[in-house]
Amino acid sequence: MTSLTTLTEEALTGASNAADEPTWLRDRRLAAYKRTLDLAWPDSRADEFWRSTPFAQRLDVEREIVVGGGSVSPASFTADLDVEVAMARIVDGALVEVTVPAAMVAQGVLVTDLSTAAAEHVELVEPALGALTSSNTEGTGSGADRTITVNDAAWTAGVFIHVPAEVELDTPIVIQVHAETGGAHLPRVLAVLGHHARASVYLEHTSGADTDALVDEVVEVIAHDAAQLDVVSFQQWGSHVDHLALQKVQAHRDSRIRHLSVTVGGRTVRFLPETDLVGPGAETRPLGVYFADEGQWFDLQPYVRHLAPHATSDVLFKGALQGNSRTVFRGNIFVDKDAVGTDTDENNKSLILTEGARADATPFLEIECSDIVAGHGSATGQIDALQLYYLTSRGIPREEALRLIVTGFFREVFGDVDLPGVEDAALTEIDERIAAADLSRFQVNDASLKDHHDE
Amino acid sequence: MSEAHARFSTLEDGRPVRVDVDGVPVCLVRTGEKVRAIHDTCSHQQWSLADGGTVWGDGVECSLHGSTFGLDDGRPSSLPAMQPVPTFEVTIDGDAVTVDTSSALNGAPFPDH
Amino acid sequence: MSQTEIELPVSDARRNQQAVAQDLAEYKFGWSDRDDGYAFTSGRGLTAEGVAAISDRKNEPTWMRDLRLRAFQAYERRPMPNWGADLSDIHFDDIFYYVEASEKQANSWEDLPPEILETYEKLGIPQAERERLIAGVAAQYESTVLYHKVREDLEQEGVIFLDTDAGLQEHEDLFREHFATIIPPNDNKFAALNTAVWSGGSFIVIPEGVKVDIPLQAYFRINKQNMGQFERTLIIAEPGSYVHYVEGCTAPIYSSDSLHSAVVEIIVKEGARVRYTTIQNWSNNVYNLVTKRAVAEKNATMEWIDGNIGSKVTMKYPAVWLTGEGAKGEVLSVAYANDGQHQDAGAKMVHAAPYTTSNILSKSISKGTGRTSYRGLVQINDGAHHARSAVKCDALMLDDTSRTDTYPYMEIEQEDATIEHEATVSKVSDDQLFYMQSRGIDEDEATAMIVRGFIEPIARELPMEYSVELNRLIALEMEGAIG
Repeated sequence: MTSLTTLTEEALTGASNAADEPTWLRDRRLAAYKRTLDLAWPDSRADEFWRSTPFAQRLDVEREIVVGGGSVSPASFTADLDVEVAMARIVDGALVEVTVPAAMVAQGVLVTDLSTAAAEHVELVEPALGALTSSNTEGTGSGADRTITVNDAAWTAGVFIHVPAEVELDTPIVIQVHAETGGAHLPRVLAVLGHHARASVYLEHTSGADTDALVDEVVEVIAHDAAQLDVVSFQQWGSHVDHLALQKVQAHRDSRIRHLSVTVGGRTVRFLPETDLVGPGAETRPLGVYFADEGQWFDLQPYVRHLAPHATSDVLFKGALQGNSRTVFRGNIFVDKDAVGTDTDENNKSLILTEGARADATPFLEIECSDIVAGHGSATGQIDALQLYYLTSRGIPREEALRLIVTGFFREVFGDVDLPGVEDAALTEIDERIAAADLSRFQVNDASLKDHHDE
Repeated sequence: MSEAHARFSTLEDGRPVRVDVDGVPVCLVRTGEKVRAIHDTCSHQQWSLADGGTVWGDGVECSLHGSTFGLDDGRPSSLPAMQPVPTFEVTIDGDAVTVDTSSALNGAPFPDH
Repeated sequence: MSQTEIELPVSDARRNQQAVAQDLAEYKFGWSDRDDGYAFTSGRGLTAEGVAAISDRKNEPTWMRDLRLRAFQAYERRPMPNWGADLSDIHFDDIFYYVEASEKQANSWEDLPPEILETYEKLGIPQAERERLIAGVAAQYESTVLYHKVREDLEQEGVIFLDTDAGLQEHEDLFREHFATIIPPNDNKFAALNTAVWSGGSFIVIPEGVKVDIPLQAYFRINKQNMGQFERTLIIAEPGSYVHYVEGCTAPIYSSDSLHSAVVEIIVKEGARVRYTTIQNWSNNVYNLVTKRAVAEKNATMEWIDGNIGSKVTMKYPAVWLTGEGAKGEVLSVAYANDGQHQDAGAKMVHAAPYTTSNILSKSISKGTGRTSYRGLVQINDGAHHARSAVKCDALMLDDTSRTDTYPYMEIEQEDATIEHEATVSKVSDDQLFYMQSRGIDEDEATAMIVRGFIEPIARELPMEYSVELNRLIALEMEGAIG
């Protein structure tokens, strides 16, 4: 059995040949494999970016890598919408379906198997694949991260998306990653948007209710000049799935990126939505919504690197926690010395609903350029008694009022997110969790009531 | 408590050793003919007392930040630790050393990190 | 001095510029006393024998000697920290870890040897003494305290203000009860080093209910090339007491690197309050690696006011452990880094009891190629319910080559904690400068005003002579600020 720790050149070569991959891709995989041999698995004591999540304790890399088997996955939430989406489904480590609407095909949009694209569209894939991982050790933490390099070497199923220059899509491209069989899963996505293109990519992550798996995922997106990109990633895993995800965007001149994540499922989820702003005037908005329940551990690390002048970043992550759960927010902003005119803002708020929940935050700023505007804020606290009182004193029952407060708390993130189905799907997830919660356990902070009365 | 958790003859004087007893990590220290046992996890942070730790007099110093836990009362001599670690009863029968981790002799809570 | 072409009414600052420049030139470029005149030294580099010799020389009780040797073992074993500033240029084997001056302790200023008197006259001490602005002064010359004087009324109230060596000799039981209980010998590499070779520092005990209304001060100075400073301070504030301790230092510039690794332990008992103010202005070749930690018990208050202006590298994170219900901790930190300097500073607050509050305000300024990093921790332990913490870090960058970082850690184990953190980074705006220039204020002075305004919330908490010192420093440093 091959696991993440027992990869061999033979196995990788064999798999690559079986998928008819071109030589350049096979060579790249092997080069990545060689690099993994020199890397240790993350050590929370030594690696700053793994400080909050004890790797050895929570993640099992001895799992057998799953390559194909099932083909059934739940319906996408977009199925209920009145839109014609492109759809690619990766189930148990194999790409089982790709459907592209005729309209998109006519515009030259590609949504296809990544191994095949590596041969048939080599001029598009070869310069892009791995551009944001293997050559880039600084973007993801101190030194190279073996969990990412392992995916570079051994990803089992991949999707390639290409939206040609100036093509604007009004309906999303949906990628489902579903884990039914237990084991290790290594999905890969590569998307390239040509200049002035516009597209939205939804990533839906689901599993069987009892599936025990480790999903090690890498998503790379390159947005060329003035492209507009929305990435929405839903983590709706069952409660025995661990998810390590790097979702990295390279934003060129004047491009507009919005990267929204909704993390509600999974056991240990370490999620890295990253943006490298490499062209002047680029803009990125990493948005995050998370709801952690009993036994869940979410380590969310949006990382924005301002590498060009006059770029903007606006990070907003809001989450709620109940039961014995843990979230860590690590928002990292790096501003290069040449990134004059940078405008960056970052905000994180965690709402602690019950006893046993713990939300840590470590928002870093590393600034080498003085001609910028930068700020960040972080707050952790419980539901404010005063806020609750205002609602209940207007006749709203306490439980309903609590629900309103929590959903209201999240609405800010969706502000102007007008992507089909997204806000509804996210709020549905959150509603479900609140509905299942024991609202009598919700704790309310009466500190502000005391201040109020003391005036 | 039926089979030995350690062999007296293999315990070095003044050197802490870690043994696992019924899922509880224990730091065993022999000083002269006496053997004492305390919980192996520092009460300050998740770190093994035996691993890299040093015995000074009647205490074991945690190698991470230097708090020294008394072998008799489990109490730390200084910050950053603030809570004592549980102390356990040790029985020596010939060469067999057994530790009873079912309860803390000093009543200290088991670390939960 | 920059020139200005605008003919407008001359401001006080410009009129006094020559006088100020003179003062500051003296201050900044310092002076160096002669290197001879030392009674005893343990030589360059450090060995266990050297550590033992220090203890023997001081006639210390066995327990202290054993503790030093134990700390030395820990120091040798611990690796260098893998975070923070770059310490790779410290040449540990070249440093003199203990040097004793040849003069015995004097009881009044007049007893000091003439060269030393001259040095301290330049620092302005005799004048301050005459004006009784300060309650007691411990002047540290190299590693031994030469001059020490406590005001008569404080003595009467039972306030103990001694150098640490005397504290150990004269109050051994009390000393031993608290020494190394806040920072143990193996807390970190540089605390271990300090515990092995410490010499000098202050030992202060404020009896129950006594409030010391005038700041207790100490002056430090590194003189010898390659001289390490390892003072150890222990402050015990008995219940209901109050003291403000002020530590400020200056050093002459010289070419090879110096190491300053101090340890400060403070116990603030129930209902007591301690304020500890530091303005550090070591010369630009000093590595300043300090461990400062206080414990605040029930309803006690601990305030650290930390000014980091000099040194090549500073790593310092004053900490407060809030172990009693209702305890309060505060850190006001100012850091300034110019070319080649790195100030890696901040604060640590550990909430270990209910109803505790902490406040951290950090203002940093980086100029030229200077780098300031705020590094802080707010930790709320399980059981520390109703904790509140607010952190604000503001960074001002003056040049394109400057660098600033913010590394705040918030680790919150208790659900009802209310934690806030806010950080901003900015530069001097062109609009502000233009406005001021159009009113006849030249760029340097305008920048100096902006910088003073930036740090005002902290500067106003300093004793007056420090404010004055700080303002002068800013004026000098801002010369050529706009490039």
